[in-house]
Amino acid sequence: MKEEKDGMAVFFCHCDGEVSGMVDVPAVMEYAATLPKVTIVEEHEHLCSKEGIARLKEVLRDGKVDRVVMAACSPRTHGDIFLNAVESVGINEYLVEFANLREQCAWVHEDREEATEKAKDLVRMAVFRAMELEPLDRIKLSIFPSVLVIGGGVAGMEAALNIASKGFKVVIVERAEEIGGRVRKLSTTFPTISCGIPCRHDCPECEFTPKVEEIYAAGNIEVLTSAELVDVEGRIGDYKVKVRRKVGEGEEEVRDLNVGTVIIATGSRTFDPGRIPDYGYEFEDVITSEELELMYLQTRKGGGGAKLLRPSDGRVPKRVDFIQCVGSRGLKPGSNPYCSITCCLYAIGHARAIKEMYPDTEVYIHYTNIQAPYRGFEEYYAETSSLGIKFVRGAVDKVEEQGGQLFIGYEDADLQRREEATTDLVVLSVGQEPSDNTTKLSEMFHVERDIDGFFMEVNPRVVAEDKTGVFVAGCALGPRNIRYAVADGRAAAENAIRLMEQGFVEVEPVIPVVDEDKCIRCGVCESLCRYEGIKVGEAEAAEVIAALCRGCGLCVASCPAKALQMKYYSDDQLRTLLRTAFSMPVAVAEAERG
Amino acid sequence: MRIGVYVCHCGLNIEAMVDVEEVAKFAATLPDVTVARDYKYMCSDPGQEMIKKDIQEFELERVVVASCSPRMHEPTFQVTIQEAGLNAYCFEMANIREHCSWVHTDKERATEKAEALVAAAVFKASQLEPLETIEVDVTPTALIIGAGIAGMQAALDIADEGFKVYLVEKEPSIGGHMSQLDKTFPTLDCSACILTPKMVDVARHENIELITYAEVESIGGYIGNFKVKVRKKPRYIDETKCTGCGICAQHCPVKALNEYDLGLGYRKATYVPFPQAIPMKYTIDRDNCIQCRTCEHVCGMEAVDFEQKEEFLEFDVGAIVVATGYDLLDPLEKPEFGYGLENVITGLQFERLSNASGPTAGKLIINGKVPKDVVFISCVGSREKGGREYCSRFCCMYNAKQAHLVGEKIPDANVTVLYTDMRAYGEGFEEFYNRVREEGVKYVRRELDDPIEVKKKDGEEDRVVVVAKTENGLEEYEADLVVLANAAIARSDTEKVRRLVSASRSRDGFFLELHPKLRPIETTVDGIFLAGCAQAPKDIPDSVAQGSAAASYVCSLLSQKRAKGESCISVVNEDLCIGCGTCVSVCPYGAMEFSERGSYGSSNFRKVAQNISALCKGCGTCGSECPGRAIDVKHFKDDQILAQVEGILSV
Amino acid sequence: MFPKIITFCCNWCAYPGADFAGISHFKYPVNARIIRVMCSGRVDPGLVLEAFISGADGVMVMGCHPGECHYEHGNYEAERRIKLLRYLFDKYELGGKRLRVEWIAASEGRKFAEVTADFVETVRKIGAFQEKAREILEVMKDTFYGERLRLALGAASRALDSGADGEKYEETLKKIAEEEMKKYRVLQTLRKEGELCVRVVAEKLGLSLRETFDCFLDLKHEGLIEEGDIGEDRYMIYGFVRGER
Repeated sequence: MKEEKDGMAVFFCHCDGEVSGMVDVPAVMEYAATLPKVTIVEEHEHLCSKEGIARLKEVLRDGKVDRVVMAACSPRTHGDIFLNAVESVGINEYLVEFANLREQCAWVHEDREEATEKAKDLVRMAVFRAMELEPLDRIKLSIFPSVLVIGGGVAGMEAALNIASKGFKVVIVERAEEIGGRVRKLSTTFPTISCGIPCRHDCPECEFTPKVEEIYAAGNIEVLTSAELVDVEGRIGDYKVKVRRKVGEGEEEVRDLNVGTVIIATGSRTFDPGRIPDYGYEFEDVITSEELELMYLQTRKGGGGAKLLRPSDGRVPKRVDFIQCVGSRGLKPGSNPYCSITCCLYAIGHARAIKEMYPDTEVYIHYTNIQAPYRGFEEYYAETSSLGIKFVRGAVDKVEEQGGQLFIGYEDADLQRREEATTDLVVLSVGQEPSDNTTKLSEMFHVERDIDGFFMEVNPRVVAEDKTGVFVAGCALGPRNIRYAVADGRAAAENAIRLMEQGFVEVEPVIPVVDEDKCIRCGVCESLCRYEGIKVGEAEAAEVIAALCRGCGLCVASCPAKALQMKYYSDDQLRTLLRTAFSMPVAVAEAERG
Repeated sequence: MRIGVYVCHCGLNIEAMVDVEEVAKFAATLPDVTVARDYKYMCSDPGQEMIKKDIQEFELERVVVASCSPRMHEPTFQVTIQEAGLNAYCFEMANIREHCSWVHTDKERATEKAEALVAAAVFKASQLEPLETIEVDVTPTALIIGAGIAGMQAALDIADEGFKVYLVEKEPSIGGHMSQLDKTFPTLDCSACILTPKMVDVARHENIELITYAEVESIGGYIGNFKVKVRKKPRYIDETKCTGCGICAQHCPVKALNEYDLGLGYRKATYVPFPQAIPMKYTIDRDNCIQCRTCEHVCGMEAVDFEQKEEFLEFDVGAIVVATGYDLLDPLEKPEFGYGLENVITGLQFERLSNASGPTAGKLIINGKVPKDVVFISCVGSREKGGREYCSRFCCMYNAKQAHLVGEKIPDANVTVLYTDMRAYGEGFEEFYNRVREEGVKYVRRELDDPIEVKKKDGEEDRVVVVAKTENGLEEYEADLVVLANAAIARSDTEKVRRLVSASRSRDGFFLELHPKLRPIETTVDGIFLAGCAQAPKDIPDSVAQGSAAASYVCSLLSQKRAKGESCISVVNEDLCIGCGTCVSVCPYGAMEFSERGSYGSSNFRKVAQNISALCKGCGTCGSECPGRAIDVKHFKDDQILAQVEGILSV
Repeated sequence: MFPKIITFCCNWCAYPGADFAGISHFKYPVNARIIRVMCSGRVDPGLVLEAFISGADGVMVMGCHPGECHYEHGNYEAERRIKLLRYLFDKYELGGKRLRVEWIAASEGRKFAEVTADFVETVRKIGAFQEKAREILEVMKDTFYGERLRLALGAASRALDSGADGEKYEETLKKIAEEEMKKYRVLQTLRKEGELCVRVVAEKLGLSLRETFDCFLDLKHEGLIEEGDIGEDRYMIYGFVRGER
């Protein structure tokens, strides 16, 4: 015989005084006990602790309850821990409701009495909503065991190699003619990336070329260069992708790929200093750091190692001025608001290289703050100062050329004066901005972007669920040093591998249901859904496509015929919250009186 | 040259003011006149026989008849002389009746004038030349513009004769004004009951191609050979897919005033004007549509097409019937009648109110109130001295009918009709009028010029007061409902249609028939006919009759296969033509074109004007404008006109 | 406690923003009750009105900043709805400022606290609803649960995407809402007071005879009321059709 379970348990957490310090927990518990259906009221000093969880399970296992209210911290903090515990004793996780007594009560109020009264309200709301909840099963979606990596820079390559090493198929789609990304354009990496060969140049090739070789050597990595995504459809675990690719002079082919997960590693774009007139980029001897790299690479290729000669007359510059934060940190109109992270490091590296090559050349670095809190860097920076490289804090306000002579005007904030000087070469330490295909890809895969336009960095602890199977790595997330881009690639690969090894993903069943009798097929739901999660096709009524639905509920709130209801956030459930927010619902109050 | 002159007495019509014998004697003295006679009725058989006999006996070459207007009897006498072997154009008329005897009072001076007119005719006759009659092929199809009752009747009659008919209607449905009416006078037949079967017949007829929600864009060509271009406005609903189920309108969130109900009711932005509309196809009113595209989604037939563009149809027809109907005067132009007040409506609005398919489902209620005191006012904007002087013809009778309906639907109502003259001119009309008076409707006479004012009653939102000077003196009538019989006026787009067909308009703005008595169906343009209220206000039977009449004209033309063209046309003297193109630009009918002479590039190459005889109506504008005097109009040549002038001055 | 505030928070920005206010110990008044939804776009305007009917004095909808909505554009829909509600609240003298849309990022704990405090003060100044407000709110609820307005509202972004004129659309939305409000006010009056004629209803509601009659015709067309007898003042009496709703 099936055990009759229809009670409700309410658990209170003191949170070591964080809640009980401002809320009279016993009073609220006493109140909770008077609420309908509540059969168990329990408290614990620290509910999320090992002992707390054990106690929770114990009570639930013994008690004849099928619904649980957690009167504790925010569900965003320990929600998952509590839900797992509840599930483990056989109670459906969707029958649990939270009263956020910590972040949204105890911590934000000053009057103990008021806070206690509010806590009672929050508990009452939670109890009544819990009564309205219904058990739901998670939706299981299969994962196709292959990965699309978009972008063949260091992050993408790292991801591809990791995934391939686990035996899964990878396709790299690279826009350029060769994989390698920006690192291919660098002459030297700083402060040192050990490539294992004791050579005085920390050439990226040493680190890099073997990796490229490894990619091509791996049997299960396919590389499509000169290729771009043209269309995507499908869902997490099952994407149908169209890739257009140049296959010869003026010839193109379109490839159809089927992949389960996607890694976006499209990198970033270098800031164009022409957008800010102050920096005099139109003059021949004003170059970007990227052009400086190219110079090194070219002279090195010509034999005789890296050399630095002025573009205008091929002479060795007697003075070189590095200007930092070009296009970054909102320093000048037209620049991006954020720090581009890598520039301090590479400018110092270049300055040291120049000083080493030409000890008589004066090297200035015009900076605002030196930002690079990475391991080994502070030492590198300190050492640099002792090499005679001059760090000048303050803004550069003009770079001009008159009669073949460059002039630089700048502020020296430490000496509190403005200076003007002649110089031979100006190197602009340009920042990074989102790649030009970021918008397109974010729309194709419905991946969010941050305020700077890069892909949003997703903290899996904060975001409950990923319903895309799309992971982002490297500078596509924002400016990064090589080592972090590589780490990102590895992390993204792990996410993809985890999904593929599991073979399926379970997603939340928080989706709409259609009342087919009410639906008028007006198509409003379909037009509002950006995820193709609901469609009005040939059938009599709209259909929800659970694998694509993200559960936002926009269609539900907009449905003209009120033919849609949201699971877990139904109108009735929300209505119950409204009706119990400040007092007992009228019906219950009347019943009690009567 | 041998000319015969015949002076007509026209009974006493001419004889009373002109010394006819004297005129004949005078005529005999004129140069080239071989014989001159007078007779009581020249148009009578003996009169015509007299002319024929003389032609043979005296070997006459030209004939002059001095009688009535050539617009009356020119064709008669042309046939007469043809029968005697003369060319029809060897004939000239002197109008001594309309232009002389009827308009003067001094017999002596009138006789002198008649002599001058006869001299002019004789002088001109001596210059006349025989002309060829032109014939053209006839395309055996017809275009009917307007699918109201007159146009529908014409279409059905023509189609029944086996000719193809293109019936073009600018509204989304056919039916015209008649479809808006409740009952018809004097029989009290339900308008829809007698109309809708006809509408269905029109839609089903295999020879009728119904083109609704469309307007004629251009008409070229001439009798028997008109080239028509029709612009079909986008309904934004595919007529071939729409089943008329109405689900689109059911869900359309936008309401707009229904023009079919004259603002008394509402429709959606997706609509059919009325439930029995034909074709039963929905139309999206994009002026009000907010593009929510709900209709598009709820339509099971995928018939909604927001991308639909206007469409142009081109076809040839042999004849055209203009049956564009009428508009009603906006009563706001006559502010004294208080239109704009809630309980002041027009006669047509009354029809919608009384009609079962109207906004109140046929209940006579104004804003929820059953009116007790109802006042009808006739001649609102009609019969105005110095303005719209004509009578709108059907208002007296629909007033009577509506007064009857009020009594029928609201037995305790007090109904008053403020009228000026009761015009109950048709079969059973007088009887109906008497019946209505017997039923208790009070008829009060007022003069049209006397003051009248309809205003809101102080303190009562739902009552008005009619203050009017009547046969009983200055009176006040309180009313819950005032119905204005506003004038029927020419369609606002009459001028646009007139330009398409090159016809003429009357002083009242309606289309002008060729002759008010004898040729009420034809227009000044061959092959173009009139039917219904496009010509002047008329009731339903008259419109139907005129529709049928127009159809018979059309059928007779189409069945002839050949049509007579105009003989009095322009001729270009190419030796004088300098190729300036003035005539090409001034010709209202597009009958002048350039023609090349000599080979291109050679010294003798030039362009000259050339007349397209089938298009030319002989107006002569080209000739008058021609800088090189290279153009003459046959039968109205410069020399002929100058001879006429010389004749007049010779007396 | 006065005023009572309901704050709808989206799961991704506003709710974490509220949590962050707590974590940062930014204090704010106790008057607000937070209701979590996945997206501000989930907040049905009908539910907002139900919040007022259930006793709330002010309602806030908090979502992600424009362009940052976790679901791309739900916040814009929320804004459109609240804007229309505010317009009607002002029009019917309920105080448009009882409604507010705010964009709160997950990191904006301070803003959450400040906005909440400010809103509580704003609503406090407006004061409690007047007696008759409840009836108007009920009518507005019917309006916002009615298909006609919901269609126009829900299809707005579809229409604007396909080139509809934004201003004209907004005006039409207001017009539809007002027409529906009138209609449901008439219905409410008949439902509450039994059989009435156009004149009496027009007087009660301060509407013109014509607009009242238009409502009667619509309601009759929808089968919600039916014609009865003719009264002494010759006005036709209409009654509410029982069994509906």
